Order: sequence, then C-alpha cells, then structure tokens
Amino acid sequence: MKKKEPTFEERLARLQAIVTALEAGDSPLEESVALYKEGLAHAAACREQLEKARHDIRLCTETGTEPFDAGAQEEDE
Amino acid sequence: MDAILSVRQVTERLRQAVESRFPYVWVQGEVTNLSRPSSGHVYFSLKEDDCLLNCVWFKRQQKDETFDPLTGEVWEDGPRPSLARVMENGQTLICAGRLTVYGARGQYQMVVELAQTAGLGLWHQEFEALKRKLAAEGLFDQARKRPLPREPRRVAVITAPNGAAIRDFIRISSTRGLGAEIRVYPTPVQGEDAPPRIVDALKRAGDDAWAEVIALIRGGGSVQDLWAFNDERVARAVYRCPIPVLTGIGHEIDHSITDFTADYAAATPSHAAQILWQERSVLEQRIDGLEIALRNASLRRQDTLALRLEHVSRALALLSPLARLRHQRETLNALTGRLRAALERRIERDFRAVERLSDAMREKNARLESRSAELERLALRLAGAGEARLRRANADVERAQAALPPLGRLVGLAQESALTRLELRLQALDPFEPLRRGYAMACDERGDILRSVAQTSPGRSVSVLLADGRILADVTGVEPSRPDDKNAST
Repeated sequence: MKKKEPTFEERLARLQAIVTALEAGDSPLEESVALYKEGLAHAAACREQLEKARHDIRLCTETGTEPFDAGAQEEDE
Repeated sequence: MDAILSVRQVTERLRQAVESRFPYVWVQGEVTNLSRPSSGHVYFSLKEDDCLLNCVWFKRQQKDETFDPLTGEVWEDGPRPSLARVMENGQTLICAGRLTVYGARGQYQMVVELAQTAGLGLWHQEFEALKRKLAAEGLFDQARKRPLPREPRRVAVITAPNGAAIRDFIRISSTRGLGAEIRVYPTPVQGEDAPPRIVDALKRAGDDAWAEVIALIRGGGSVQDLWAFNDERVARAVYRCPIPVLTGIGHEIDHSITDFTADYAAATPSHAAQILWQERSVLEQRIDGLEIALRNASLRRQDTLALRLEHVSRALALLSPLARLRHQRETLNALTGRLRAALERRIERDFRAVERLSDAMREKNARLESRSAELERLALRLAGAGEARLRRANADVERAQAALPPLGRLVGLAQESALTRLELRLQALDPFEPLRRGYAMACDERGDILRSVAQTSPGRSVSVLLADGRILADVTGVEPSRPDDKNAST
C-alpha cells in the first residue's frame, strides 16, 4: 500500500499547482502540454482511487484481527 | 408615540426576552394538573410551595420510538415508554426544556424536551462535581486538543460490535474517504463493567500504535444508559491516550465528561464518520473542478499561442506582393464604384434639374398662352373699338367740314373789313404822306435818311425827297440848331 505512489492528497495538491501554473500562462507550449497531460493523469488517478476506495473493516480479537460484518452480529444481545 | 405597544408587540417582545434569556433550563418540581388529551401532548404544571410553572410536553418530544427522529439512529435498548406516558401527579421531576410565551393564553410556559425522575438529580450533581474537578485539572483544556488527521487511513473504533452505533458508523463511512482500514475494538458501552472495558480498549489501541485516530462511539440513550461516559476512569484514559480520540456519543442534551475530554466530540456515531472523512462525491467534485480548470487553462494557453501565430501569419500575408496587388485592385474597384456612383448621382441630379426647369417652362408657357389669349381678346376688343372710334371721328370730321365753308365766309367778311381798316391805318403811317403836306426828307449819298446834321458835312452830297421828286444838292455848311430854337428846326 505504501509504495512510491503519490497519495490522493499529494496528487490533488499537484493538480492544483499545475492549474495555477497553466493559468499564469507564461510556460512554453511544450511545457504547457506536458503539464496538461500530467494534470489529466493525476485527475484520472484520483478518480480511480475514489472509485476503488473501500473501507476494510476488521474486528480485533484476542489473537489479532478478523473480517468484521456488522450485519451478521446484529442484535445478538 | 412609540411608547404605546399593541398587544401583539408586547407579547412578541416578551417572547423574545423570555426565549433569549431561558433557551434551555433544568427545572425541578412536583407534577400537578397533569392532563393527557387525545392529541398526545402532555400538559402539566411543576409546583413548589406557592409557585407554579405551566409545562407542555409535545408528542414529538416524547421519545419512545425505536429510531431517533433526528439522527435516524436506532436506540441501543429498543423502544421504551417515555416518561410522558408514565408520570403521575405528585411525582417530583427534573424537566429540561426552554421557556416560551404562549401568546393565545397570555402566559409563559416551559416546553419540555426531556424529563427525569428526581432520583437522577443526584447523578446530575455528581456529574457537575466531576466536571468541575477535571476541568480544574486541565483535562478539558482547548490547548491540549490534538487535530484529527485528514482522510485517515487507519481508524480504531471502540464500541459494541453488535450495536447500532457501529452499523451507523460503517453505513455513513461507506460513501466517504479514500479507503481506510477500520479496526473495531469490541467493547461494552453500557453497564457496570463498561468503564473498565472502555479504559482497556483505549489502552490497547494506544499500545498498538497502529491507528491514526480512535473513534469512541455509542448510540443514543437515556442518561443512565450513557453514564459510563461520565466515568472518571474513562475520561482519564481518553486524556492519557497517545492517539487523538474522537467521540460520537448520541446524547440528547448535554455532553458527557468523556466528550469534554476528547480531542473532538461529534454528536453521534454517524457524525463521527462525517467528521473523519469527506464525502467521496465532494472529492470527485473537487477533482472535476480542477480538471475543468486544467482544460480551460490549457485551452486558453493554446488559444493565446494560436492567436499569436495567426497575428503573425496574417501580417505576413498582408505584406506579400499578391496581397498588395489584391489590395490595389480592391482600391481600384472601390474607386470605380465610387466614380460610377458619383456619375449616376450627378446625372440623376441634372436630370432632375432639367425636369424641374421644363416643369417651370411648361408652367410659364401655360401662363403665356393664357396671357396671349387675353391679348388677342383685347386686340379684338381694341380693333372693334378703334373702328367705331374712326367712324365716329370721320363722322365728326364730315360734320365739321360741313360747318366750315359758311364759317369761312363769315370769317372772310370780318377780315375784309379789318383789312380795310388796317389799310387805312397803314396809309396814315406812310412816310411819304407827310411829303405831300410839305415836309422833306434828306438822305445821304447811300440813300440813308439823315436824322442829324452830324450825319453830313460840307462838301458831301444830299438828296432831298419831296412829294413829287427829289432835289440833288451839295452841303455848303452845317449848323446845328441851338437848344432854344429846337422846335423851329424839327
């Protein structure tokens, strides 16, 4: 999980920075295009991250953790 | 005068004063005048000696449902009858609610939202005492509160694994965050052994040092149900915990001691989940917004460059000879066009002038014709008049001629007699006449009549005229007459 891959927040921050840089409008064309592509990639990655985002819910037991299903244990008290 | 208020105004002011001064109060008293009409609202008064407070407990505030109508959370211990149903006259209650003014009856009253039997009053005192004590120790200090991590990836949840709280928490979090691992530390949150078990769970989570944040949650319940969270041991364990603690305890009224101690107190388990993670749709919107901004910025950048390119190429095209030729041809065309237009305008103008003139001429002709017709008429009249006049004149002449010969004869006669008279007078004036009476007339050599002796001199000749001839003589002397014999000489 913790690779060199940038986090969602980092991507978002980078995307924001790219937009600001492009809006300033003084970069050469090639650089602008490169920035644009990078920005699009970040946006796509962020979106994919959001799509895939699922919470992994585990129950701590005496020995460790196990998958937790709230519905299964409903009202057994 | 603004000093005079209408009934509504004074009631409204009273209402504002009362409601702002007593937004939420706890009142203890003995129940009296209890009434339960079919509407479901409960009316009663709280009494102390000779003081009375009218109370109304509206049906919607009488919480004996399975769900909390506000949060949608399930009660931990199932449906239970509200005190509103079971209270009796004479019972001593502690009621919580707000004071308001009931304008229609002109009275103030308490709108009860919660009531406890007086036994709980003791708990309340304990609570206040503990709160003061821990506050004094600095457990509630704002400066100590640690910030919660944003979008945490590792969250420890301390709660009952079979409770509604964890279900609500999971349900709300399912649409939030970027995918976290949530570890549930199963812990009873109600009853005698709840406080030590909560303390253990906090210690374990802290020792594990895995989580970024600990959520301590429990669904709504009565004051007794939630009493574990007013336990001093729990509060101190939260305070000691090395990981930030977020509470989500479904209170109806006040915060618990644990809430005061926690780094952040959410109102309910659902709220705790909302605090921890942003809604994914909001994050998506942010990405969308950034992406749109990115596209726009990039397009603008391209547009700017494209525009510059176009400027340059247009300038280049303008400078080419072909363009100049085209431009000149256009100028020529434009000029020709203008020329033609000007010419046409000119012709048009002249044509119009000619028309105008011929119109004027026609008009004048017409006038002239009418004038010559009149003249002819006049000539005709004149001719007629002239002839008549001539005839008249001729007649006159004839008449006059007829009269003339007799008149002439008449005039001749008169003139004849006048002539005779004139002859006679003429004869009298004849210079030779006096000669017949003896006078003489002397003339010089040239025949001029001598009127003075000075006109001749001795030696010269004179002729003396007499009635029957003349005498030629020479002058021998001249004697001018003396003034006294002047008469004699003439």
